[in-house]
Formats: sequence, C-alpha cells, structure tokens
Amino acid sequence: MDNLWQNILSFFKLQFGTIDPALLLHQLAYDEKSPLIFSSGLFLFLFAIFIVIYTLLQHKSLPRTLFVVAFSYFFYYKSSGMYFFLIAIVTCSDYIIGEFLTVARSRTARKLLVALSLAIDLGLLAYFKYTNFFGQMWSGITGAPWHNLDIFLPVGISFFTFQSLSYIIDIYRRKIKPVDNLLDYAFYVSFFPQLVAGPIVRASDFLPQIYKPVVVTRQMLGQGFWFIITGLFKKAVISDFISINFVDRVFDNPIQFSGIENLLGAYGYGLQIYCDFSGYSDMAIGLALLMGFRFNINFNNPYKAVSVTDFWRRWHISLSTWLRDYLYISLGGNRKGKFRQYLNLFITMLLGGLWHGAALNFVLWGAMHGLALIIHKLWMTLSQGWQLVTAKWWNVLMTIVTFHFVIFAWMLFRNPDITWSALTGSAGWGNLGIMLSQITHSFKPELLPDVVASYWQVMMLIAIGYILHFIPDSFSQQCKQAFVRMPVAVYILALIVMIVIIIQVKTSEIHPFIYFQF
Amino acid sequence: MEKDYLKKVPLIVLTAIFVLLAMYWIPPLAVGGWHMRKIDLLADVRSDSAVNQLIASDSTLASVIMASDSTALNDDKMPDSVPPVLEGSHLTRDKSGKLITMEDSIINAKAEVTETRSGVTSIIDMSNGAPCGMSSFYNALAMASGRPVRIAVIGDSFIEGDIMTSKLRELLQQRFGGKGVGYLPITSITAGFSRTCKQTFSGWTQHKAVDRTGYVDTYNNITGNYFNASNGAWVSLTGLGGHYPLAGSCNSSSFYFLGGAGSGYVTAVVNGTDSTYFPLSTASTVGHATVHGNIKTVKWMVRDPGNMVFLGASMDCDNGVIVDNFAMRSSSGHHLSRVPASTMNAFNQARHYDLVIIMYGLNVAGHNNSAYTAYCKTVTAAINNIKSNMPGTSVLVVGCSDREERTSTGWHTMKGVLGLIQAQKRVAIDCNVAFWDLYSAMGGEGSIVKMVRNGEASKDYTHITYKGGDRIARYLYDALMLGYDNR
Repeated sequence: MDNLWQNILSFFKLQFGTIDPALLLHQLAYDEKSPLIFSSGLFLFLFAIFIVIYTLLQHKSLPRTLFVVAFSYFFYYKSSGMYFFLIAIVTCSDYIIGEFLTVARSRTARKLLVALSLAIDLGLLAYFKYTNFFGQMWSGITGAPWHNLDIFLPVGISFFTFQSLSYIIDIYRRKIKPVDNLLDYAFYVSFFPQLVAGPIVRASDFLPQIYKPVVVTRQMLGQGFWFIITGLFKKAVISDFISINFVDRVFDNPIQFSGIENLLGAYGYGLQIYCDFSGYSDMAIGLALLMGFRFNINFNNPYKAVSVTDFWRRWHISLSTWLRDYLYISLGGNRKGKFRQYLNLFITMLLGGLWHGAALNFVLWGAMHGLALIIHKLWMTLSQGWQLVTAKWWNVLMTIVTFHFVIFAWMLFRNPDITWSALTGSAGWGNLGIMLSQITHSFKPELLPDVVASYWQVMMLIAIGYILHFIPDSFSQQCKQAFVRMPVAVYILALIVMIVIIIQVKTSEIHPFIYFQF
Repeated sequence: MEKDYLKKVPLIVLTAIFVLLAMYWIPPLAVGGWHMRKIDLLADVRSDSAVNQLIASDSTLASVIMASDSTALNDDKMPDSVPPVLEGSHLTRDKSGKLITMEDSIINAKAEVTETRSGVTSIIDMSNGAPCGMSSFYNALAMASGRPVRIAVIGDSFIEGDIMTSKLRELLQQRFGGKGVGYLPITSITAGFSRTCKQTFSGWTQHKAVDRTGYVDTYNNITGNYFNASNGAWVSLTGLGGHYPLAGSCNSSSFYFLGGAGSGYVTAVVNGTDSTYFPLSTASTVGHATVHGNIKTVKWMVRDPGNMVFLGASMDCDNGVIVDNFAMRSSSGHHLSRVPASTMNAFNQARHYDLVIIMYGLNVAGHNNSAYTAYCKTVTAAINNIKSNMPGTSVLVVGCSDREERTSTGWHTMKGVLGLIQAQKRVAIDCNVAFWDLYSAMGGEGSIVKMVRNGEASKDYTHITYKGGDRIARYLYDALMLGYDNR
C-alpha cells in the first residue's frame, strides 16, 4: 500500500514538479510565432479552466458575460498582442453608432452613420491589411517609389470587422434591434470561438441567443464533441500531415517535382485548404455548442458542387452570404438588368478575393471565380429547358469539371509570387508558371506507381479525405446522430483517441525528400 | 424546457485531460517499424533540467522510471549532436579535455593559425602549400583584372537552378569584375526556370551521369552531361539581369563539344542579328567555338552533326570572375572519379578553372550514422582525378548542409549528416585540399528550421530557396574573402 502511495506521489511529482514556471508564463504570454489555436495542447488546458468557471457562472448573467469577454480578449492577446485594442475600438464605435442609428430619424443622418461605421471598420481593415498592397499598386501605375511600411496584420481583423458591420447594416435595414448595453455588444464581437478564423456570425443570428438562458441540450453536447473531434481530424491530422510531408514542398519548389507530382500536389492542396479551414470552423461551431450557442454551418461538402454557383453555396458559407447580402445587394444585385448583375457579381468576387489576402494572386483568384459565376449564369439562361442538364451523368460530369476549375483556381490562390508583370506578358507567374509547365510538358504519368508507393501515407490520407468528403450526406448525418446518441464515456474516449493521434502526427518524422524525376 | 447538460462538458474535458496526463506513464510501444511517441501534454512547460534533478534526488521516482520507461529516458539522454566516431579514426582530447576525433583535432590546429573574422567560418586549407591548395586561387583572384578567373561549383539539387551560385557569382563579380552566368549544359530540368538565364532549346537528346542506362563513360566529363543532336538542333541563352544585374549580359559566348572529325558546322547568332560559322572539327578532345561582343542573347545551332557529342554553352567575360554551376539532381559526385584523364585535361584547357568547389552530401546522408567508407573512396578518387588532370587548380570540399528530422523531442540534425561531415573532413585531410564547414557556417543544429521559417528553405528541411541560397553564398563569399585578404 505504501509502495502504491509513493508511486502516486511520484507520479504527481514528475507530472507537475518538473513544470518550469518561467516556461508556463511564457506560454501564457503573446508570442507572434505561436498563436493560440484550438488544436494546441495549451488551448485544451485553457478551455478546461474556462469551461469550469463558465459552468459555475451559468446562471449569473453579468459575471458570466464579463468573464467570457475577458477570456476572449486574453485569447486575442495570445494571437495579436496589444492589438486587442482594435476590437475595443470597433466594439465601442459600432455600439455608439448603433445607438444613434436607432434614434436618428432622417434618411441622410442614417446614411451618414452607416458611412461612418464603414469608414472606421473598413479604414482599420484597409490600413492594417492593404496599405502596402495599394502602395505597390500605386507605385506600379505612377512609377513613384514605394517603400513597404512595417505594419502588423492583427489576426482575424477581416472577420470581426465584417461581423460588426453586419450589426450596423442590419440596424439600418431595420432587421434587428440594437443590443441592450455595451457589454453585450463586446460579447458578440469578441466571442472567442469564431474570433480569429470565422465563421462570420451575423448579429441577427447571434444576438437573440445571448438574451436566453444558457442551455446545452443533449443534442448540442453530442454535436459539439462531434464537430470538435471531426474538426481536429481534418485540421490536425489530414491537413497538417499532408501539407508538411508533401503539398508545401511541391508548391514551394515545383521544379523539383514531375508533372504528376505537381498535379497530386494541387489535388492535395484542394483537400488541405478544405480540411484546414472547415476543420477550424467545425471546432468553432463545436465549442460554441458546448457553451450553449448555435452557429450556422460554414462548409457543406463544397467539392460535391455541380457548378461554381453551387460551390459558393457550400464553401465558406458565412462569407459568401455576407458578401451577397451586404456587398452584392448593396451594389444593386440583380435589380438593375443583366449587365449590371454580372458586373456586380464580378466586383463582389474581386473584392471577395482581395478579402482573402492583400496580394495579386488573391485578386486574380476572385476574378476567376467571378468570371466563372457569370459564365454559369449565362449558361443557365441558355440551357433552360434542355433535357441534358437534368441527366444524372451530366451532374457527375459537371461535378468533375467544377472540382477541377476550383483546384486550378486554388493553384493561383496558393502561389503568392505572382507579380503585376504577369498580367502583361508570360513572365511573372512565379511558381504557378513552373507548376503548369511541369504538368503540361513534363507530366511523366509512368512515375505514378512509384510516387504513390513512396508517399503512401500522404496518398492514403488524401484518398481518405476525399472519400469522406464524397460519401452521401445521409450517411454522414447518420454517423453524426449515432455518435450523438452514444453515452458520455464514448465522447471522452473519442476525444482521448483523437488527441493521442494528433500527438503522434505532430511529432512524427517527416517524409524524406525523394526524386522521381532526374 | 429541455434538460441541460452543460455540467457534462467540464466533466468530459477534465476526465480526458486526466487520462492523457496518466498516459505519460505508458512505456514506449513499437508496432512493426513504428514507434509510438510519448504522450506528454505538459512537454512545452516542462524543464528538462528539472526532470533530471528530480530523478537524481528521488530514488522512488528513479525506480518507477527505471521500471516503466528505461528505453525512453536512455534515448532522451543520448545527446544528438555528439559527432560519431568513425570506423578507423582515432579519438583524442582537445585543450579542454573534451573527447574529439582526430579529424577535428587537425582541423582545429589548422584553424588556429588562420586569422578569423567575427562571424565568419573560415576555410581550412590542408594542402601544405601544394598547388591544389587555396593559394593558387587567391593568386589568380589578385590578377582578375587582367584575365578571367573561373570557379566550377559541382554539386547536387541543393544548388540546382543556379541557387547559391547566382549570388556568389554576383558578389565576386562586384568585387573583382566580370559578368555573365558562365557555363550551362545544353538542356537541364531547371532550364527555363533559372533567375539568371533564359534557356531555350530544341533537337537534343540528353545523357546524364545519374541515368540508369544510356550514359557512356567514354563521353563522361566534369559536367556530368552530354548530348546528341539532330540536324538543326539549337540552344539559345539570354542573360537575365532582373535579380542579379551582372547576369544580364556578357563579353563572349562559347559552345563546347567533344572532339572528332565531323563534317558539320555550328552557327552563332548574337543578339538576333550577327551570324558566325564554325566547323565542327577539332584535334583536341574537347572543342569549342567562341563569339565576342556585347552579348545579351546568343543562339547556337548545329548542322549535319552526325554522331558528334555536345556539352554546353557559356556566357563569359574576358576578365573578372566566372562561376559555373554544375548541379546534378540526385548525384553524389560519383561520375567525377570516372572522367577520362584526357577529357578532364582537355576541358580544363578549353575552360581553365582556378577553383573547383565540391559540394555534395544530401543524397548520401541518411537518418543513421554510417562510416561512409564507400562514399569517401569515391570522392577521394574524384578529387585525385581533378588534382592529376587539372594541375594548379585549387580544390575546396564543402561539408554537408544542415538537414533535419523531427523526433518526439523536436527538430534535430540527422545523425547521418554529422557523420558525413566528419567523413568529408577526412577526405579533405587525406587529399590535402581545403575544407569549409557549411553546417557550422549556417549555424549548426536548428539552422535549416530557421531558414524554413524565413522562407529560405523548403519544407523538406533539406533544400534551400533562392533567398536561402543568397544567404549561404554570402557565408561562402565571406570565407573566401577572409582567405584572400589574409593570403
């Protein structure tokens, strides 16, 4: 018995006695190189502490709200340091503007207030994200010299400014009522699950929920853990493993790889970006569910899309609907004739591309999608009544075509070294040019068996990822419901298994480089 | 109202954390060749020294660990950076009593007599004044204003696409004069993607020393490439000055072929206008045709080539420094030992080199230590071939770069890399040539990880990008200039 007791004591000594307080403090401080992400060990511990206190404050509305806001600001501080003051600026300005909007009577005053909100929110976004981009563009047009300014890009600024704008525009459109007080608004803008990487949660969806008692139903509990565990699998297993062991290398230095490897790299990237982004969104949705909040889904098997229009109904839904409701419709939508509709669509996608990053490749990516949407709209008009377009094989064919268009566009999205000179000649396409040249001039399909055999773990994960993506919705819904009905012990077990797998993947040896093309 | 389950959330999360913490005690598992990594949720906040202190001071703890975790701790205690002891080498102790290999003791002794410059890893010359030592090159550099000084950098994919050499060339040309990208094989995988030369071609059949079949040793040469041509085959070179301005143009261009009594001819079109004819015939083992002028673009085209064998074309200067990049993917330099003496000699007469830099290793270094006996033998034979047939040319062996692997304790230099560097040092000692420790110059362990983070190296934690090549070129340039200034 003594021996057992001593063993237990030793266990705690080695577990906690070896903790270095300085390292612990360092973990809690802002570190630009390691933002706090949901799939990190640190977040697991922080969330455990958070959820214990949150549960204790469940029925104490004001302390609970204060606590969540404080935790969210800390969460943001871990990723962007002192720039959390930007959230405070956006919160305070839009709260005050919202109050004035409610009492303002004249149309002009209301418009001016919206313009003020836009100027503040988009002004911050433009300064922090786009100053150097526009500076370079101006320099390119006028020839005037431009030296890049050393501006820090605060994490998630594109998300929380868009969220806050939805509040002001919805009040202006009289779709929602303003919040009761500043703290409630701060809660909405800073709510940590979606703060740094979305989804973009609308004020109209979220605000009504904060005035209800916190209740986590059995469904929400099960679904919350389902979203977190599957999100972890997508983000920390599939995406992280295939990117470090294959995809990043191909995109970083495509000339070292044959055409077939470049193509597999492009397919791999399609899965990587989906798993990374949707996995993170899923975790955000899951965390919110465990706190009693429901977010709309952000991704709906986007590669099953039968057209580009369909793709944008399935990919980053919170952004595409935001752009539709607040940008496309504000530009006039489809109310001013066909030509204006197409133009509005194109402008929306161009700006949507720019939203993803301040670089030419994102703008071109947006333009490509904009053009594809216009072509699809024209096709829909032309093909009305054709029997062809209702056939099943046609849908399969169109899914394949859409998928390849999207993958091609991702190649543009992933190659940031495209320069303005690319628009005027063949030079300046950077690694994208090399990738396309390798695929078209040095394809070497005979290498496929060797490539698959050598990178079998990567190829297996890519295959699993795509198979899981393309299984019928009804089946995945059944799996989710089966999981939800499981006892709590199964949730614990599933969480443990997933974390153990992630630890194995995170510390696994990376795949050594192999040449197939000499 | 539905029943509330919020309280279950902390219960689930805390139970999972507790179980995961307890899993720290699971002994290491191995299934097949796969080893399960340690589950240590607190790894990021745990101090290694505290673990060791606690183990030393607590006998119960020690016994628990010994019983459950002996393999893991033994592994952890094994320092990764201890240079392996090579087969046949002798251990000795340095001034501080530290155990070092004999190679290191020679290297250290040589290093002491070399004046050092802050932050520069110096070149250690072990030639004892022989012509293959660095002084031949430094003397040539001193005369660079009156004649071309050529450097051949022979390596693998690490410098493919003129990575590293483009910047080294630029730096040397800025100080000693010169322009042009030097020699290029007629075609290569990276042709068309280089930052220093736009290379287009048509009508050639390539043979590479790394090809499994079809490479005939009779035609083997220092470049590791030769080509057969169809009638009208051509290659065009255009200097690109966008990234490295001095690469944009040159004073002369040559076209190289192996000797033979051909009846065909080759034409050179300079800057799209002037055309010059040369017969494809030479008494020498290596023939060449040369055009002069302010050349931005040159197009070489062969007519009636028959069975003649072609090598490459160059963009050179009449004086100053020329740096040729002989990179071959997947090579470890084996072909150099097999180049016929007459070809080696003739190529050096056609294109005299003052310095040959041998830069291999990535395709040899493995995860584990090995004695690299076979590798040492081949490189020694290669260097001896160069020394015998390129008299008066300095030879510099560059040690393997940092290449890292991920283990449960993070990123570490592959043990095989450290062993290889020792082997390369020994080759340099045995051949009485100079050695430069690239691994140390980069910053040793962790340097390639830092470079990946800065976009200077690829995510295979092995290869470098142009940006990384520029950094390494600067290190090598500094080392060369330190030697030159102290000559």
